[in-house]
Amino acid sequence: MVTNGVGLLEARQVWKSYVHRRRRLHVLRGIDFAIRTAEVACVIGPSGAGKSTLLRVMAGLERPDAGEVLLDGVPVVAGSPRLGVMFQSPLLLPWLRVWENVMFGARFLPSVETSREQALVVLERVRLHDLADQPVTQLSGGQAQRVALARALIRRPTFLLLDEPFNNLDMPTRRELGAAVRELALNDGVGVLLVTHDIDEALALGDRILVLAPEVGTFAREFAVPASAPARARLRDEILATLEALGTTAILT
Amino acid sequence: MQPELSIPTSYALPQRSATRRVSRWAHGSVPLASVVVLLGAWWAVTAQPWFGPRAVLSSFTPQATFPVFVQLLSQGVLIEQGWISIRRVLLALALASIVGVTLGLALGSSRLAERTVAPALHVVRTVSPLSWMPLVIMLLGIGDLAVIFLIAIAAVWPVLFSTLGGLHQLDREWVMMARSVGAKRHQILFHVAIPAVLPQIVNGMRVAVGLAWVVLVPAEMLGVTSGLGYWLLNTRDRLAYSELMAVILAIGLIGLALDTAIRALALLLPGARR
Ligand SMILES: Nc1ncnc2c1ncn2[C@@H]1O[C@H](COP(=O)(O)OP(=O)(O)OP(=O)(O)O)[C@@H](O)[C@H]1O
Ligand SMILES: [Mg+2]
Repeated sequence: MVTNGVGLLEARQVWKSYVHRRRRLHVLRGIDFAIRTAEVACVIGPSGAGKSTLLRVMAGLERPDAGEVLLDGVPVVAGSPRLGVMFQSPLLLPWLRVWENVMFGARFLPSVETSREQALVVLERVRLHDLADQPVTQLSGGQAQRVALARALIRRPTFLLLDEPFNNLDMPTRRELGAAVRELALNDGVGVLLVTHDIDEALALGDRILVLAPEVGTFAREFAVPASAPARARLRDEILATLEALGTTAILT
Repeated sequence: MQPELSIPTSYALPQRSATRRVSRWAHGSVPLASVVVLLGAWWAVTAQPWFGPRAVLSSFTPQATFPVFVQLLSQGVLIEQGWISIRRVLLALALASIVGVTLGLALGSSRLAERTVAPALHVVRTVSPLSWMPLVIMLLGIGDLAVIFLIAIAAVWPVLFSTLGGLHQLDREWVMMARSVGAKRHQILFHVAIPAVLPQIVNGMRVAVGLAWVVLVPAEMLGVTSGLGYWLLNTRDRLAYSELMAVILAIGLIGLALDTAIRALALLLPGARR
């Protein structure tokens, strides 16, 4: 998987609200944010902060009320071949087998070869090639998430948008897939937006960490993740303090 | 406006939650017992003097019917007439399925279309299919076509409304996922919506088969000169009551066979085992 080194997925003054039971809920209020290729940008924040909303808007799946999302300067369109999206739930199609679900990611792309072999290659990356011919109804939660990740990867995207991709995974698999995602950024130049509510995951995988403040609807802080372990431990405390100042100690660690 | 179709429980697909042991039991000894009960009731009503003069009822008894049934079967009459009826029902079902699924998908993909059309359809649905008889005959004349059309009118509703109901339950997030991999509207329809509602469509078709078979008999009394419904009238006019009972028996058996067949067919479909 090789992508060209330059690229920018950029949110400019993005506002997004929902009407729920006749009340307007403002989720994002003027977000400015960009992901570059070859980096992992982590967005953390408590439940309901608007992380998934931000991801859907960045993917072009929801129109912002105001502002715009640009992919290399052009308004982003849903289903762009340069994007791979993984949602908070796996959203596998139960009438398709594992490899067919993976294939579904490239099904509507003219440029990518769609064969079982191709799906197997990607399944290998998420350590699931043994289950290629299984129906997805029998998968565990973690296995299903890995299929969903493979479905995003088979598109060979320039930007990978991942919504809490490692929930439900056991610790070893979590590490393994986390390393695989980092590798995608470092070796293949993919730009990754990683949404999580796990500080340690963000510290382990991110180049940058952005804290989305609930109700405020913008990023409270942005941190660059240092390389050294002690510096990271200090950053961890700083992020926790930031969250506490926002009144959201509920975030997990 | 309540678009969901309430499906009579007797029509509902076999519950997979039922344990295998219970279902095997139900498929083994219970049907046998119910056959015995049915025969007993038949015999009690016709072969005993409680419900009327024996002389009249005697030709309705099981012991009078079975030889005639065997005779009609060996003469090929039941098979010939039965096949004509089955063919009409299958053609009507094909028509009802094509129209029902297409209309259901069309209404389900447009909220405006559904809001304007569905309430009208609910009104039309409540009209007994046989009420259309004069109109259908006027338009199509007496014959096969009218019969098929009448059966199709009865059978279209469960297919249509279960397709529509299935689309209502369609996971919006699947649609979003499909958009994220670049699927266009028609691709979402064919690759997500239709496979997703397939179990509901099949369920609707099961209900439709039952309805079609019920409507068949009165529809075949419409001037056609073949089919089990016609044969029923014919035996009555000839006062051949044992034959009449044999035809009723055949209608019941074929109905049972059709239901069993579509049950089996439903299980073969990729979406049905979910
Ligand atoms: N389609 C929608 N319609 C109405 N309200 C919505 C919709 N999507 C999200 N919301 C609301 O917007 C807010 C932000 O939701 P979002 O899912 O983006 O949060 P999140 O940060 O991803 O939370 P979590 O960590 O629980 O996934 C929530 O209050 C949610 O109820
Ligand atoms: Mg979320």
